[in-house]
Amino acid sequence: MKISLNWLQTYFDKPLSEPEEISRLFTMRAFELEGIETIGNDTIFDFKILPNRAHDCLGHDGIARELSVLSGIPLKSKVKSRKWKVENTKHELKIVVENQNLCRRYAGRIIENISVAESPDWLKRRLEAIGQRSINNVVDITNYAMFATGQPMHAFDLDKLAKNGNEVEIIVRAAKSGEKLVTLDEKDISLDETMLVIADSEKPLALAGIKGGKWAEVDENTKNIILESANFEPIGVRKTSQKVGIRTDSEKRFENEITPELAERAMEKATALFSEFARTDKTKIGEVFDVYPRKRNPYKVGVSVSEVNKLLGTKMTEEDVEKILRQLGFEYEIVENPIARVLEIAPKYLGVPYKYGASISFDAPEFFDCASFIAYLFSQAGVQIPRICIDQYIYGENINKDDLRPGDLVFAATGITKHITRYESVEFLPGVKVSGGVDHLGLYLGNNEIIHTTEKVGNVLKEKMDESPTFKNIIGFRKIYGIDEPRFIVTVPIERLDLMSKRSFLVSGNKEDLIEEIGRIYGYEKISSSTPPKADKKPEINKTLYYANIIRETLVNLGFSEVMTYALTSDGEVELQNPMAEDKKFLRKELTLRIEKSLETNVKNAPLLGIEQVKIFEIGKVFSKDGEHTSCALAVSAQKKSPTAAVFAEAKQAIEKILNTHLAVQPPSGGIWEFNFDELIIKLPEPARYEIPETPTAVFKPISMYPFALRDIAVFVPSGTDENEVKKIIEREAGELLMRNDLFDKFEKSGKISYAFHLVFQSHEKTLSDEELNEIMNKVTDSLNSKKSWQVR
Amino acid sequence: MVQPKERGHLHPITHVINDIVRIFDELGFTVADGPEVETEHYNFDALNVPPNHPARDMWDTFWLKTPIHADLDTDSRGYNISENPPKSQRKSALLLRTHTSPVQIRYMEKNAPPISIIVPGKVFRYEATDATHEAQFYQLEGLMIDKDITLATMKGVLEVFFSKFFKKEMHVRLRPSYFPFVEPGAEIDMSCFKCSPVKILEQNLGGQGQDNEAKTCGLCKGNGYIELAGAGMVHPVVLNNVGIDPRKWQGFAFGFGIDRLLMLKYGVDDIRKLYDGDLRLVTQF
Repeated sequence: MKISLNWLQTYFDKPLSEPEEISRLFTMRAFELEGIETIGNDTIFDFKILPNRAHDCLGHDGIARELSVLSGIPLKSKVKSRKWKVENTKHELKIVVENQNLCRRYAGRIIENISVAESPDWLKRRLEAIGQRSINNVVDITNYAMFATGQPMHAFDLDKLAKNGNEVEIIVRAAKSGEKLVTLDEKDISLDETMLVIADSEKPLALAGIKGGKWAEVDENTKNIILESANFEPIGVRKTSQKVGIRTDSEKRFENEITPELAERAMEKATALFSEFARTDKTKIGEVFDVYPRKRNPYKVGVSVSEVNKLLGTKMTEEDVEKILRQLGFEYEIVENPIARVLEIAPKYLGVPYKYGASISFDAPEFFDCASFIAYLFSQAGVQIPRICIDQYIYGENINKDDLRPGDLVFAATGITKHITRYESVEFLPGVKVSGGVDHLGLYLGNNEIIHTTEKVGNVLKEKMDESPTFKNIIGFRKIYGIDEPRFIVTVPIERLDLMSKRSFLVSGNKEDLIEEIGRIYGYEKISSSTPPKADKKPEINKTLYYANIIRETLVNLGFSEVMTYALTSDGEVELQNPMAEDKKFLRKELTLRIEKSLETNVKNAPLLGIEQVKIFEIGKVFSKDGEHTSCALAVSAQKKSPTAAVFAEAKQAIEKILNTHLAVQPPSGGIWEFNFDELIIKLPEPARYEIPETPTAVFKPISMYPFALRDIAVFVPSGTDENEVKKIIEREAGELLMRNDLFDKFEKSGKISYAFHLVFQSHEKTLSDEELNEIMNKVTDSLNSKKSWQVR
Repeated sequence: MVQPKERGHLHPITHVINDIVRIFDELGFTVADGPEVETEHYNFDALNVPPNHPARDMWDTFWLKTPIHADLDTDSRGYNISENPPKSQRKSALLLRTHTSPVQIRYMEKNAPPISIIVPGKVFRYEATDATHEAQFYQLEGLMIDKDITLATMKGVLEVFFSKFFKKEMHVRLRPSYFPFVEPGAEIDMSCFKCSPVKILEQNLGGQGQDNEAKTCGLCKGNGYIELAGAGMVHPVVLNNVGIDPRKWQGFAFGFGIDRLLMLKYGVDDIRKLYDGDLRLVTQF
């Protein structure tokens, strides 16, 4: 996300720190910076915003908030005074949201008699700084509002919409199969009923949250507009976007989910800008038609200092944590005794109506069911417990009736059919069985009193436990442990969806999310590494790894070298849905294909490698319709002096000897020998300890892409001359282009020794020419001949 | 003429894995493994990465063409993606695992805590290949679950590992980051083994290294630290879903690229050379 420093500065009265300092703060305390560049007198930060902070940091508002937290520089206090007012417009706006699950909020506003023109310079500069094009003032304002607040906006040309007299209707609905839309950039889309559209009474106008359509496009003649600031459900937006292949800045924000609360901020900001430079003296700003059926309750999450230290490995005090919460700007309170808090607030909800499946985020505290009531009470004390009755039953610790204290939970199996009796936990440690089932619970208040809500009565009530018909069949008592210390209860800022619980989506909103907030501000560098605990039992030995290493060692001792080749090939039984290349469409069903190619390449390079026969092997997974298994393949280059069959036979013998087993597979007389490694080791004993060979110290020498050249040289030297003496001279004269210098022949004759060497030359910069090579060979020859009684043959 | 039997060479990846296994074996870690073709469930859902969530974009995935999933959506990129039905009805698509993390889940399903495992294994990413990126490479996963395992423990384990691997005193730095299966989530930087002074300032929060040597170091570009791994405390929901009570057990997980570590330690300049079967690379080790 590109962020302009100059733009950020407008959020603060005090001058901001240097870009390097800002970079450091974010990198070490918040998130990664992908790049930073200077454009004119501005610095542009490119922040890597991952899904956890995409809810609040895909806009300058959010980054400014974060910068304020990290640097301690306060944000400018919000100036509330509006410089414009709402008036009666000629047209009337009506908004119908047919699917409130897919559209959580829709705010629309008519602005009449605007003037479409170029944006003022300051706005153009802001947008261009972050890589956006300026189009016209209307489009620019909606873009600006998005890059400021993180809330996407859209503007329709009101006069292009279907009207009923002066009434304009906007309908947020599912598209109908067969409907079409032409987007603003001329793309033709076929719609279907899985896609959400913004439509007028006749046809779709825009793909909701993704892209506007051409029909209602704002152009230079536009006089009246409808401003949209809305919130769309993330999964629907993402699926539609993938289906039609359109990704936009708007779509990105919705698919990551943003709070519907942002809608009004963007609307406010955009309207102010329209009033500032897009108006005429006839401009009329209409009121906002706002469809916002479900507003989230403030979300509370709690943590104790012990819990913070236990996860991070720190030694923070209560003061440390409090200081950090204040730096974060979080609204918080300290509850000394969470259970006391639960008991204190429970009676406040007497009489609250019952609603089965009531949501804690949206229905509480106006509606409860038996489990949401208890979960809500605990959440207000900063304690998270599961949402579902049976999960709460598993979550709590079992206690006897004698140990029952105020704040404990009492569970019953009522058998009342409307309640769903469950026999197995659902979300907490899924699958734990409760024989006989459980379907109800209440909070024990002491003195034989219990508070609970039941459908039969229809609201929260308090009664004597042993007189309550609902608690005739008590199946257990539970205590919530680990909450006897003071807790910090934080009310999560409305934009911070990453700190809230979303049960149907990525699970978050646990105390761990809050601990991370505290930890990152505290500073991870303050966490001192602790010595790893001593292993109290010996680790198990991985059988595959153990035997693979044995076989590797055996083969290496016989002169084989190990290769690793690509698992994706041009042929096989298991095919990829989305291959990267035509020749890598399948998973290999054997190692043979690729190791064969490897053999060829290595045979070509044999002189450079200084070997006569290439012997290679690979151990790796192969894939068939029935599954995958580990395969082992050996490849040997044909050699008269060393027939392949013999090499394979030697290898087979060595493997059988070291493993003390019999290899059923017969190696072929030539080509590649491949066998099933898993089958080989399946009957072998479990190993006791690893035998891991030493690892080499090596410094890699880059491999030249230019061809090597071969030259031979043989020289007669006096008897008794060591070969290394000859080698040294050759190497000295030949220089750094000499890659190999291997003795291949030696014989004695008439009191002289003849040494013959294979020389391999190669350059990293070019193909060596014959002239260059001849020059080197002449140098070598001359130098050898210059020694007394030495004669190059 | 008799040729002396020359010893062959192990692949450098094997050497590095052996080194890693040896060091972690001493620390009490078991080596676990798992399939390279994985289910969507183990590769994503069980790790708290549900379908249709942008977190999935963090891993570019190879999906398998399989005939067994009749009720799946196909999006314009041609993936088989599942709806979000209740677990009992979920049919999981098949893919090439994008990380070794699924093996954590498989292992935890079969083994009760305390747990100390490492998982060296081949993984696949749908990524354009170049000198530092390949579609297949090796990762090392680490998982440690017990009663009192903290971020401090993780720092300690990683420092011991890097120090033994590079044969000098190494330090580790955590930066806030995000992965759906850990909370807190962090990026792990290790001290630059080339230029780093042995005593790394704890207060050095990402500025220039103290040494002049650090300022000009080609490896870490003067940062004094090299980015290497992703890590964090295992997310309670991940533990919960394999039947481990997150109130009783906690621990860390980390993952890093073995190829990257190899290239850093030995100076190999092109990751593609590791998989083209070329002995000109292998015989250098």
